[in-house]
Amino acid sequence: MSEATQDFARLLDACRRGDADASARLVRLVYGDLRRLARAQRGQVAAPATLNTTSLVHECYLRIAGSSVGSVASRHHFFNLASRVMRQVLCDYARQRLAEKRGGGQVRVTESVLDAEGHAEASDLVEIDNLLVGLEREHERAARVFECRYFAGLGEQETADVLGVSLRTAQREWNLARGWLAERLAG
Amino acid sequence: MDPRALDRFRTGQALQGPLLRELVGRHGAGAIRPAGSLVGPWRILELLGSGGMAHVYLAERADGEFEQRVALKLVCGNVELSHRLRHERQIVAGLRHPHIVSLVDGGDTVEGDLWFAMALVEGTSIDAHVRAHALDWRACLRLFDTVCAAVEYAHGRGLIHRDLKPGNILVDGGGHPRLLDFGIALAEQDADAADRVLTPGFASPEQLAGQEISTRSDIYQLGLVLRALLAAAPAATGAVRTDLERLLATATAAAPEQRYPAVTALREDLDAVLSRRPLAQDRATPRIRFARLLERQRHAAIVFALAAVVLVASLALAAWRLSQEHRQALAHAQRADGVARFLVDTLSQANPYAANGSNVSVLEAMDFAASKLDAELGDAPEVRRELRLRIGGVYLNLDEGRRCLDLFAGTAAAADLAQATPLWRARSLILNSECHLVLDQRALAWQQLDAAREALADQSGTEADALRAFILVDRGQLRSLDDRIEEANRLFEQALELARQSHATEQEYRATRMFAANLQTAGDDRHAVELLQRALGLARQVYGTTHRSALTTAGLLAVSLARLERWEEAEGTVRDALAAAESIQHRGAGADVVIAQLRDGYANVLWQQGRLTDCIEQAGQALAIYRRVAEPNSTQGFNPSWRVATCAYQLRDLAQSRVHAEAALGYAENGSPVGKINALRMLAAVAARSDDPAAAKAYLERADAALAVTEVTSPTVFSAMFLTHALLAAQTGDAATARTRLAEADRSIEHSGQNPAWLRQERESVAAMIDTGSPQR
Repeated sequence: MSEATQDFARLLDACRRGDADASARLVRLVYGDLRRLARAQRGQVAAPATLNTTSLVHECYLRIAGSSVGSVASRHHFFNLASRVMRQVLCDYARQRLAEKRGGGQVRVTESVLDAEGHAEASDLVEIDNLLVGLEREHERAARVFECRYFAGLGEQETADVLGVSLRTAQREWNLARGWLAERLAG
Repeated sequence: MDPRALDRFRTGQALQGPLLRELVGRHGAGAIRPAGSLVGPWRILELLGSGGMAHVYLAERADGEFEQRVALKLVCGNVELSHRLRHERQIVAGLRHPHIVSLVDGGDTVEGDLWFAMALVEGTSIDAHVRAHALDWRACLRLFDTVCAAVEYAHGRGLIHRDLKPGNILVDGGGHPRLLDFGIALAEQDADAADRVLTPGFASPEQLAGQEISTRSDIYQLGLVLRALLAAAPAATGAVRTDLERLLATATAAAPEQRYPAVTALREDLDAVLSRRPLAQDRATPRIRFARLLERQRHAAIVFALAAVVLVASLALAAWRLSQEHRQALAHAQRADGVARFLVDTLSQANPYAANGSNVSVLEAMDFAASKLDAELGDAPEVRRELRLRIGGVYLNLDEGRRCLDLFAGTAAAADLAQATPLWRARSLILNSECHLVLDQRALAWQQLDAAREALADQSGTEADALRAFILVDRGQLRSLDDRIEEANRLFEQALELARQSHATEQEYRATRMFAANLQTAGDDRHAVELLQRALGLARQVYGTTHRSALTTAGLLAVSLARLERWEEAEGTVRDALAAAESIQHRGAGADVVIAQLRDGYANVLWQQGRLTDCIEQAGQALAIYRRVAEPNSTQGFNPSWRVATCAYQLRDLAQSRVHAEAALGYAENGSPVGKINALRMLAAVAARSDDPAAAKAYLERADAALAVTEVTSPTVFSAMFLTHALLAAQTGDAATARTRLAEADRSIEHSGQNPAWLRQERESVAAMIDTGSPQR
């Protein structure tokens, strides 16, 4: 594992233990990439999402790990981490957003459609995040496949490569995770 | 299972909703760094201010090497821009101007943020200064003119500020203005209008529209700054007030082409207002103007000056197009022609910006000439058209495609085009096509060539034929770039015939050289050598022995000679060319690129002799030059990167090979599809030998996919692909497949008759692996 990847992993651990500074630093590390994702999304780019996100994760890796290091194994490890980071960053933000709403720091008179959509998405994400903890206990691999695909936008082949499983397994676990979550997700 | 349940979750869904956009929006400039944190060699002391995407801190040297305090600006990272930024930062670091705050240092953090350390300046913003000292309009204009001079200086070096506003111009206790933030606005600018940070009220219309920014955007902002200054000063009255209003209207016109074309022109009108002379637009109606041109020495001199500027530049560029120094350009011109000397003298009298001759660059001179063109030569369309072509040609030689296209974009230019002769029209369309080519707009380039052909449809005579040859060569070049080689070669053959008939030596040279390059790529070196020797003679005849065309032709010739194993001739040719290139005084970046190309050629010769370590040395030096001087997105680094990757592979230094093959792949993304196939294949071979068959397979699949959609003429590409397939099969223990692939490779090699040393070596290695049945490195 390269030094940069270790740093990434340490931050993720600290983040999961509730370290707010670590969470902020994590966002800063991937901020440029997030920004480009947001922009591509706004530009309604016709290319499939998987293409964009995968190449972004690749670039993110090159930037953080440096182009000269890393076996394929450590690259896979990094992508694996990246999908967790994406989950962490997005779900942290979703929680923060819901808390702000409830706490009612300032009451907004009007709520735009976008804001309402964001709210719905935030609730969904938090619920998915909580359910994933359960899925991790029952079917750990399915939970990991779900993270890679749903949160990092990796395609089925990349997901299989990253997790070191066969393509068939990756496909099966993706269906399993989705079915499992859909059954339990409210609404 | 209910399919709707599956549809609820899509790939990448969490990254596609409004939440991500919000998260990004909220983070903006990022967290404020506490006092004591380190950025590069600097330690943060306190926050000075914040805006949009950046925070500015007071900072000091952390290593205590020497005591220095700076204003440290941290801009939230944008990976896409970083290459361009580094390039621009280098230029800014080279700026030395009393009215521009210098950049001390710069770099990027691990998070991808960019930082700029600037000299710490005490002072107040320029509008506050005007108010505090109750300056009148005259003092305002003089102060503003100083700012303009600084901007003019930076424009002359190809820099655009992009964020000129009163807050970025500080005036110190002595009343001297200083410009802040040169080269930084780019860091804060973004490809997307919605999250780009613009200073409200000071953004030009093209900035607001997210369009391409030119120096005229700075002129717009300068106009707004002047407006703000004048609003803070007691109002001028009468004619001065009217003139100022019209000056401001021109500077801040919504359409860039209606603004002052250069800061020089704006400053001329400032001077006119200050000395109570009429503005340029009022000085004369076209008819009177022409009469005066003949009457008055000074005005006649301007026409000569225009001609001189262009002539000097053309002569100098023809002698050595890459020369960096105007002084030398002048010297060349003087030696070249007595008439030129006369015109140079006239030029230095007539052009106040070239008072001492040596401190105006060719580019500045061209900008000056371009800015004069329509105004000064309204009544002399023939001269104006000729000059437009000449100036455009010089821009093109300086790789200033955009400036050249601008020259043909205005309404006056359109009128010229409509009224001109078919020959002139064809020449200007060809020129425009080449500009598009410089800007890598191939489809547009092709369109312009078609239009040029149409313009020539009814024309006969040698000049028309020479232009037809020109068009044929350019079309061939475009087809070559698209790897449509056979089509390209047919065009070159036609061009050659036409060029010889019409005695168009330059076109004959270009067609010969490009044709030869294609033959060389296809492996027909015997033919290529013949053509290249002829091309070298033509290049020396047309441009001279130290011209880049002659030098690079020699480089190509050496490569083909080496492939025919004529080692001594090959090495002699490339060494002579290198020595000639290095003997050139005051080399510009363009000349450095030629040296890099020659070193790359030398590396190739060494590689073919199997002198791999020497080859890596030469290719490494070429690469270092490209990294230093190449434009962003340039594909020039491909060859040396790939060369090092190949040599390292043959030496079984797989780590080094991988790094350079990855770099080569990066370069190939913007360049030749064949290069991409080669790089991917190399990565596959490296991965296969590094016991990573999965990665090897993935690379090989990508290479196959690229091969399927590319017209490849070099048979060794196929032979090598078969071999790499065989290698991968052998490494994974699939001996049957490996044998089949090896047989295919053998057939390909035999069929093509091309079996260079590296291919032989790789073939033997793979065959041995299959025979022993054991994977090996």
